[in-house]
Amino acid sequence: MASAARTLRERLLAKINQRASWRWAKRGLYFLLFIAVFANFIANDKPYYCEYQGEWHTPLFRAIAVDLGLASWPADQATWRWYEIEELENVYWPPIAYSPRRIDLYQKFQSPFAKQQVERWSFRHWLGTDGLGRDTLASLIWGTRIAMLIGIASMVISSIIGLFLGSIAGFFANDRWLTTRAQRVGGTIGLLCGIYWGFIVRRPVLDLGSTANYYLTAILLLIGLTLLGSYLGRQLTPRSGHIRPLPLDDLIMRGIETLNAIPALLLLLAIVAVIKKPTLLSLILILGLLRWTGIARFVRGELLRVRSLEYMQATQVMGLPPALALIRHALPNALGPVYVAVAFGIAGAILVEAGLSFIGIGVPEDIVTWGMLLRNARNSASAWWLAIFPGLAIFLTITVFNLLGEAISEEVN
Amino acid sequence: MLRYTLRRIFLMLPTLVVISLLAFALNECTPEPVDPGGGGIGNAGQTALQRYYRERNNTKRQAKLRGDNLPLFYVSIRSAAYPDTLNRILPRERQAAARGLIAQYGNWPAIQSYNQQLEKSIRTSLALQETNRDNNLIEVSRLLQQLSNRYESKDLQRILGQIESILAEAPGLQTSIKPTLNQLRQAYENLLLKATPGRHYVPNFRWNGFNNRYHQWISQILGGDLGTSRVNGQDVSERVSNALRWTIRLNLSAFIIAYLLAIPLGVYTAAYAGSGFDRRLNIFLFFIYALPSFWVATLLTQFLASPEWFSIFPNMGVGEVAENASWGERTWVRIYHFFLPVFCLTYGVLAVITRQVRTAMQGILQSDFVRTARAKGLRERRIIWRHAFPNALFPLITMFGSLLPSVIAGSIIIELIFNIPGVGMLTFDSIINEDWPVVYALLLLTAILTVLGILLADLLYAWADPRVQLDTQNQRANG
Repeated sequence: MASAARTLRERLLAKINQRASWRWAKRGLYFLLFIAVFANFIANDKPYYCEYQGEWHTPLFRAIAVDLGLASWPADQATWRWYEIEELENVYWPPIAYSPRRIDLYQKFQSPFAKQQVERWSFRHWLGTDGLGRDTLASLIWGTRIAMLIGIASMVISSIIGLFLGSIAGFFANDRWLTTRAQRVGGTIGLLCGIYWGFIVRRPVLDLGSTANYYLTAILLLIGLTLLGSYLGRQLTPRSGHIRPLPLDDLIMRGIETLNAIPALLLLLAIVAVIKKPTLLSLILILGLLRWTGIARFVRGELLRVRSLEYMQATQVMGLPPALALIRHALPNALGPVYVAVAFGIAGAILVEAGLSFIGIGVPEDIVTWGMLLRNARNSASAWWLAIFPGLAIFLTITVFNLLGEAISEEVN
Repeated sequence: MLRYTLRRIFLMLPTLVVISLLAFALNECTPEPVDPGGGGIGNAGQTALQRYYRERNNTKRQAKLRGDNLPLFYVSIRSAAYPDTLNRILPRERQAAARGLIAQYGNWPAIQSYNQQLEKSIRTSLALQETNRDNNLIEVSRLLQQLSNRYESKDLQRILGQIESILAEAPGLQTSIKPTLNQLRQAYENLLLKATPGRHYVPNFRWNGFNNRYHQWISQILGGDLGTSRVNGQDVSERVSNALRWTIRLNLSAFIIAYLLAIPLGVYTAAYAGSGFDRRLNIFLFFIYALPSFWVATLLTQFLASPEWFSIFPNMGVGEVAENASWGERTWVRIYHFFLPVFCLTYGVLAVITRQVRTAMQGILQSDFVRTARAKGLRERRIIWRHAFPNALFPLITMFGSLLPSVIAGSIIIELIFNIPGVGMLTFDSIINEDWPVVYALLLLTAILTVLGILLADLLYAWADPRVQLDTQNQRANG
């Protein structure tokens, strides 16, 4: 069994290289990541380098540094429109010399195939322009960044929650987390205290507007007080007697069932609508907090299998603490299905984000997304390129992740 | 079977309660509608004080109608610093201000006397306006009213400071309002001095009885009354049932078509697994599955239903049918209008169901009893349809349970694109118009239906495959 000795990562990579379609999906993923990371270097209306009136400038790099807070514009340059200055010399433009939302009313509804009124071939609108002369390709490139960011970041949050709850449910199940009565009582008291002091007393903090602070501190207090309560309960009373397992699996699975019973899109809309001013972060958080159930179920299922294997019994016999056995020995062998869920989950999150921005709810209006481009395309039926390309981008991205998910799932199962 | 059914129903109840709590909590979180206020009309001859009373009574009455004066839930756990009568302070802004003050200073009697002093100052300043139309006075009373909605100490300090600086510049007001305002200042200082924030660490449990907002809300909904729309005052149940008509027709026809196509396709590809047709169909379904339905729908409306390209299909709505139209004509109009939306809804589901059927069938076709049937010399067709297929139905039953809610919830995007007045469109409109009662009634309704769908699927499954009941019983026994 040579293949068993290899790590999961190596096995997955080898599997992906087996089939042409999966290899293409891998290349597609690299391509998408490259576009997402370097979007503002690829499509921008500021040149990389230019000389003007005897001085040299690097406007694009400076603009990015300014955005990051590392530099500032010289007083007169802050409002310059570099693309309108005609006497630039030795100028190097990005491959797409347009910013996504730059309006140019002389270039309305340029078809990608028609002759375009541009200075040079490199200034062509490769995928056409919309009704305000905005370049479709530049918008698509910047939209890639948003789509990938939302897909990956929300999946990271989902994975953390799903791994945590799923591994507790699967590893400890209903029989392995043994507690004495004193521990249960102490833990319950701690939990109630945590709810009271963490959430109820600190409620005014929420009214003062620091939401993140409120929830983070409250959750930390809740967990801390519960642990403290059970620890005290254990220390203050004799250990023997009334040892019973906590039904952790039942509790978590019931929670997952409840969450799954609510139509996801409707719940998403209901929550998104409550938020007064949607931001990218709020969207990522909501998607992340709602979509972890799949991962949790996968982890649980796999761990239920793993924990009955002989080597896990060996860890028990050797007296390894259960938490250590879980993290060091059980979890690494249960990660396979998680990768499958993550791959499909990213595709799902991108689709949901596109759908939300298509109907214009929950996504800030000032950022360019593929769904928004598609929505705007509905107003101008004759400009076919506006509807074709953003949809194609969504379709291809989802296909890439679905193909990768398929490859991983064939290796894992 | 009966025992199993009862247990499943019993397990379902907590889920329903949690869902109702969630919908209720979200409903409570939504911003209040902007109050049009009772002022403006018919108060020309009134004094400032009368107007103030009128407006206050008006908002109080509205708040009472909404049930703002009732406690939120059966039990309340709050800190001992809060009085039991807090939710009788109306309207909500004042209640929030009082809550904010308590959160900071924790001494309810002092806060109460400060509030009373504030109210007295407002009335005094308004009463004085009857004789003295001084701009400074009007400004002072405006600031005082602003003060009644504030609780952050920096706001309070700032506004009190502003009032005092106005008074210092207006000697005419010194005698009339100054004493009251001094008392207000004193009450505020008293508040700071006698603050007891420590009281917050003592919890106070209270049983509120059944006269609370959650109870009212849930009993209304259980009684079939989903409330009234905030936008047009229409009955929500009526709006939902009107919308349901279209959504059910649309989605049901899509699912029926999808099942009718998927079952033969899935069974056929499973029977001839590995054939050219199987491989091609598999790839085709894979891509179809990744096609976003709203993109396809956009393209179809743009290219097949618009005068710009081909106007083959009607571009919007569900079509008008004359009153006396024949059955055939009526059906034709519906099919004509539903063709594109049903197509868009069908193809995604088709891919999912076909793959499910194929996987299930493939597993069954490799089992021993199928080999026995083959050995017996039965015809392949008979083996597939009579022996294997009924056993492959189980995953389809589960899928039916998960599809049921979407028959009702509808597809927001598809309904929007094709302008079909179904539940999805209703949801979207309600969110856009901030018509929260409708949104949360819909959320609750679909969630309940989802739970029922899962229950139904489980029961059907257990009925079709009695091993399931045994399994869960064993689990109980072992766990």
